[in-house]
Amino acid sequence: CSDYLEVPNKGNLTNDSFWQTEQHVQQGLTAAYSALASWDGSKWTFFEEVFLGMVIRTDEISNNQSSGYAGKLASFTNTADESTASNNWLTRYAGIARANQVIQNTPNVPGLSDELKQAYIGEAKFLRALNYFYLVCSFEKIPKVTVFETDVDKLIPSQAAVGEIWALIESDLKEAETTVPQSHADVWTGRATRWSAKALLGKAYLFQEKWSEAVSKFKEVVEQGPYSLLPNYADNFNGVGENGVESVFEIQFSGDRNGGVDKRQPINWEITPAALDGWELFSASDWILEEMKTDLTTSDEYSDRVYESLFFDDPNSTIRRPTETDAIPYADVKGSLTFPQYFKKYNAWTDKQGDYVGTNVSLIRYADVLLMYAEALNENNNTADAIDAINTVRVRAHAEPLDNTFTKDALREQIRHHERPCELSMEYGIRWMDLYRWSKGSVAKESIKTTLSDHGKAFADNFVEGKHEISPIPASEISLNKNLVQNDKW
Amino acid sequence: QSRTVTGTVSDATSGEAMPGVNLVIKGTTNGTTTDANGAFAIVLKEEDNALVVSFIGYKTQEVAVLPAQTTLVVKLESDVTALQEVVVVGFGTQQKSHLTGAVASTNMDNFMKVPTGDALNALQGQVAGVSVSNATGAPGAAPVVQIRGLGTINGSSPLYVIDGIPSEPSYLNPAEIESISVLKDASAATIYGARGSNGVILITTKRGKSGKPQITINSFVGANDVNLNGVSAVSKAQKNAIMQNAYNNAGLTPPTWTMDNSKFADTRWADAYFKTGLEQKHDLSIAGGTDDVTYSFAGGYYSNNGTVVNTGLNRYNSRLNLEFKNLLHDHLKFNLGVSFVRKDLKNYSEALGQGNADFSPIMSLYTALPHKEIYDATSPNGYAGQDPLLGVVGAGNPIGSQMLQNNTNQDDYLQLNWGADLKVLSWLTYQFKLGVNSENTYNDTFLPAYNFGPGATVETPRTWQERARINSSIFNNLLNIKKEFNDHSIAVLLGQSSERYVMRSVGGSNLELPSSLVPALDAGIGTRNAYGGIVENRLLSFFGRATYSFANKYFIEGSVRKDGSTRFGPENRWGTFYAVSGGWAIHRESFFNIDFISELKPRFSYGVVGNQSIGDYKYQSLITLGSGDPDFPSAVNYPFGLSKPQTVATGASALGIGTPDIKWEQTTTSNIGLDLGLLENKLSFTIDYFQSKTEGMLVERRPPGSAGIQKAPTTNAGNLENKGLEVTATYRNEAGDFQYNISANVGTSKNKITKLGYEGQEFIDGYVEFNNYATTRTAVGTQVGEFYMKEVAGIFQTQQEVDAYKGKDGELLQPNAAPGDFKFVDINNDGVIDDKDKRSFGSGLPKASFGLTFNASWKNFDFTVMFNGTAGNKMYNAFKMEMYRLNASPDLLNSWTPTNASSDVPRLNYTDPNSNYTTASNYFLENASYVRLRNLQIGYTLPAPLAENIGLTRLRVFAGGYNLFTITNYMGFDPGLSNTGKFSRGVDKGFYPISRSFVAGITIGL
Repeated sequence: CSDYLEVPNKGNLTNDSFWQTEQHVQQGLTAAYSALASWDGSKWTFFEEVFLGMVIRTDEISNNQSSGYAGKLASFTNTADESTASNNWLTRYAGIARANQVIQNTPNVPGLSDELKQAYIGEAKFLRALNYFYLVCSFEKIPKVTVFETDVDKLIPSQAAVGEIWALIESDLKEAETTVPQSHADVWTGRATRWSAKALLGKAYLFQEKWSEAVSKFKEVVEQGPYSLLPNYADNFNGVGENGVESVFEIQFSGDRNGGVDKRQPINWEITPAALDGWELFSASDWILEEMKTDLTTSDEYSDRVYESLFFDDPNSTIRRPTETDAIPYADVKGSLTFPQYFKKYNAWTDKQGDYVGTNVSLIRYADVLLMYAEALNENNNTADAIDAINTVRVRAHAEPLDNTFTKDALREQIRHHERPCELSMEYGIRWMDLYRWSKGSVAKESIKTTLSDHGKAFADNFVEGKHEISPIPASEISLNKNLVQNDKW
Repeated sequence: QSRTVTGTVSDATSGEAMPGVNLVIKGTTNGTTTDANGAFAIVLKEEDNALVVSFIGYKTQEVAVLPAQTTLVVKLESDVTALQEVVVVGFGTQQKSHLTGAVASTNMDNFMKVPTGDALNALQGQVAGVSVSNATGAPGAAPVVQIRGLGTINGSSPLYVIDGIPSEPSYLNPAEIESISVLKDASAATIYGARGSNGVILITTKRGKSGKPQITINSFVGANDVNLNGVSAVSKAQKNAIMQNAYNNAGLTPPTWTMDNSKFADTRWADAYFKTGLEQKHDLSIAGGTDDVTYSFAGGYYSNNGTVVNTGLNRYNSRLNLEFKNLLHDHLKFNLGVSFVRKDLKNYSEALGQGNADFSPIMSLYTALPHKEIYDATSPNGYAGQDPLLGVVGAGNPIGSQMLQNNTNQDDYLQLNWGADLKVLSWLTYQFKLGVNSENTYNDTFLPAYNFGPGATVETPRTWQERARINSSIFNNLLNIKKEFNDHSIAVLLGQSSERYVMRSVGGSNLELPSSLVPALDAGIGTRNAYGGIVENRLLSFFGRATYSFANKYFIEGSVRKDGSTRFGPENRWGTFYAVSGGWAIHRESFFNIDFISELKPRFSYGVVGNQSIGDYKYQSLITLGSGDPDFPSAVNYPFGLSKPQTVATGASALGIGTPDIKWEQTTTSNIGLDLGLLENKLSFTIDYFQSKTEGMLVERRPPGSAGIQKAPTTNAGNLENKGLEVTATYRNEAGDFQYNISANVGTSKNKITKLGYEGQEFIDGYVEFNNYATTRTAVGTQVGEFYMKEVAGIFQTQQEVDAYKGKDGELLQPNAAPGDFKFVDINNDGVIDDKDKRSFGSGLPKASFGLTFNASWKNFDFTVMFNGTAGNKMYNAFKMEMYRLNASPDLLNSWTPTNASSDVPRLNYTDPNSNYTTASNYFLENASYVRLRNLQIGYTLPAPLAENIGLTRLRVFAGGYNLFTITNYMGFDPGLSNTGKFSRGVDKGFYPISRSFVAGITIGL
């Protein structure tokens, strides 16, 4: 009788039969990386929820009011009921849960050296720190989950203090920067290295206004790290330079579609003008165009970052159709465009299968490290070195170097509202995170509302200070976890 | 002097000849029975002047015989309330008068008159306490069936048992059905133990009777038109006017495409999407046999080509039942049943269910811009793509997407059962039954390349093909003991059953075909993908039942079942279920002498049944490896490396957590019933009141996102109480040639959650836009999926009103509001309008559902009218909310303006800063009670002599209408539709409404 009821599960390994080999650890780690491209593995969740949710509120972006995507968020009338916040939350915690599985199971894997175990655990901790970084900057008061809990009755943590999260981020990264390898074998390129950990640690210091720690960490990366700037600014966004010398950490996408897996991203369609078959979920704001237009070469022409970031009314400005490779001049489509200017980062590609593309999306690149280094130096009263770092970035894009007449305050303004947006426009939440930290910091605190108003952001009037800097804890989350307290004013 | 009288006996309703009818000469014990053709011959003495004609289930008739009369035609009327009526119960039958539990048998005459191909659909409104509602009106869509409302939040679907074998009812041809019993309470359902808690529906198919072959042909043809309840889409000019006002009011410049009514097309998408559908059903049955062998064959064809273009259902049924009797000197009977069904279903996928389900495809007809063309002769596929002048809003072509897709299902269902009855002793029978169901499903999806803009793009021609083979088998051994002595009657059933279910699936896809002309997988030039799975479960059971009655007045019954299931871990595998019940036929007591009460039988039952409707392996902690989880094929893999494209590495992670301690869910039900017959049972009532408590409900407990898992663990996480009342009343009478009967039934139910998940946990659901704006809540103290939302207290008429609307600290409650916006109630009175300002507004589950059937016949005409409906249920008109949100409803032409201040439609504003249209509020919640004329039918039966003249035994023609009208205040398509989601019932996303149809048919007996 009892035999009759013994039916093996032929479709799955279980937690007891897994975590036995190094390959299992690599697979566990791979899954932790995979969460970077969204919790459910969907390219739509990645772009239309997580990515869009991070960029749509900034002064760089002009929301397409005809598109339903993130419209409430863009007009600062969003509520805790909406999905951009919950998809962000789910995506980060999926990454954390998978990293935690690696962290707690690797020590018991037989036949693996301690050094290797430490390296894998360190890498998982890098991923955990990265996810907490985005979480704490998005929601502030969040649960600190460091163990993959398998008891269904223990899944309702309380929120930790913001400082506790930053401490976890720092300690995870400090471990990763010593245990993770300097580089990986070619087939594993794209995984975090100890240099990725150091750069993120520097960024974590910067966000906490720990200027001297930030300076020394960035200095380490700049002076000892393997990075340099790609000669061609555009190669950061078209796949040519992916995982290259400028790449500190990227989300990996691929056109490979073996096994029914889709790890492509759709940015080529999402941002391209409708007149060129794209979906134009948003366009570039007038402010970013005007600011970019001051980014000039020594011969007073627009720098590479202007031409490679924006598609705008200029004889030299071109863009592509999402599936084609011909460069189309602005003048050819000017009459049928819905908006005056668009972003063109990620519009060109070198790895495409079907309609969507395998171009990696950069989270931290070396130019960002140099600009963060410059900002930390300047705040640490070393304005001269800061200008040098900035000029390294400018020169690559053929922008005229800054002269050394800048005061600390003037350079701060230059970094905040020219160098960072011109170099890093539309990139993975960088601008919003910057606006967030400057609004929260103690040094030269800037209201996001004021910045948005000054920069002509539509619906800046709806922005409520002390509320819209962060996201509401998703209502779906509060309903499932009574220990959570909603953020103020939400 | 004696004389011989010859004649025939036939069924008064069907006209079919009745073999085996008893005829007794009045005042004597002499008699005879009719032969296989319903004919008899009897010798009467001179003084004999009448015959008493009787047959089980029919009214006994006394027929006068005149002295010179030598021929006689007798028509017997069926007597469904007859006390000797036999009812099918679990693993056997029982006299209706002996029932102690809540068992309802369906009036098959009424059932058979419903012109539908779906057996469950025909059950709608027929049985008290059985609610059948269409999830969608799409052909072939399975209705949602609930017995006694919601007794659990975990799968409320009853167990279907066809000829003793748990089976899938959607394949069944209603024409094959002989009887349907519904086991509603624990005492009736305990014999199905672990699967009985949602009730059991027992279906038996027709058997032959000895006699010459009876051939019957039944056909009907219907014309179906979708009933949109007057909901219309905007025209181009209307859309332009709305958009201009909405933009201008928001201080924005209206898009250029709204500025000139003379430009662009003016398409009515719905006109091209809906069509008159043709529904037809043709059945042939041949039945008959000898004393030793009987046979019944039924063959059927059913087709419904749908009211949406490029959809449709075809179904082919055949069933053969054979019975071999009198084997081994009358000790052994052997029966065999075999049924084969093929079902072809094409092209309609509805967004049902819970969570972030999308809108119905019909929504896209209403939201697609009228400015767009449908067709474009220059496009490779003939349909217009995105118009760049319309930008992102010009995306989509609902007609093109519907016409170009080719998504077909071909499902074959083979059912085989063998049974044998061995009479060991006069009081002891051994029965065995072997049942095998083999279901082979095949889904073939082919999409040509098309580009209708964002969200409506197919990059390359592609195909997916999936096959599954589901084998389930059951093996039963039963011992039946029946003993009667003096006034005592004892019956004991002992049984053992083993069941096994194995599903193996295999599928392949190729996302790049070289051409739309070669849809074969082999032709693909893209990556070849293959996938598939194996799932297996088993159930091992032992059960018993004992019934005892004394003097046909006192009845008691007890039953018990022990089930072992592979769905639970080794420690929690076995569950035991039991029930006791009793009844008292007071009307049979000698002291009972109230003349007009012909039956008075109170009943009582109490028992425990189980539920194991969860997936398999839920108790194990599973690791998802690679694309192994069909819900998340791309969630754990990730590319690395320098190659281009980068190679995607296989990932693995626990996407859920196992719950090793899970066990059966248990429902304890008490039932008090009363069978009441008045005026010689012309008027009869069956009344049942029940109360049930379900403990340890198996709930997919959604984990907080912070747990980082994607798959909800299944736990025994909740308790629920349910109670309700069911009343069935039947009245039958006749006045000369006019005979009529009315049967009405009503069932009420109300559930309440008494425990759920963690303390304080709530399940919110009923999202009305992708993952946004929940409308329902399930928590301790609520009903399952109760509507929970903000409350609108009218529209602000002036800025002063907005400015005066302050919280207790003097803060403006709605700073973004302007005149014309909704005023939301600060429900918790904390000075802010936020997510906490929500309250309950009732449920999508009806408080009561009812059915009423009136049958009448006059001479050769018959007439049937049937109503059904629900009361006390709400629907969230999410369709309307979405239409408002997208500025796509003609209602918005009447929106609030200072000069149209009486309007209840809020002001137009493109950015909707007050979130009138993106806040789940009671404004969009409507009363969805309804009464529907479900069936109206007039028939004419040719008088028997005339039929015989043309070589027929029977000819009936009928015509009628189905779903002719609905009385309701609900403003959406159809108040009778229900979402299939447990927690989102009543959330209407614009589902395919049911059709109104005109039907004509014929019955021919040969």
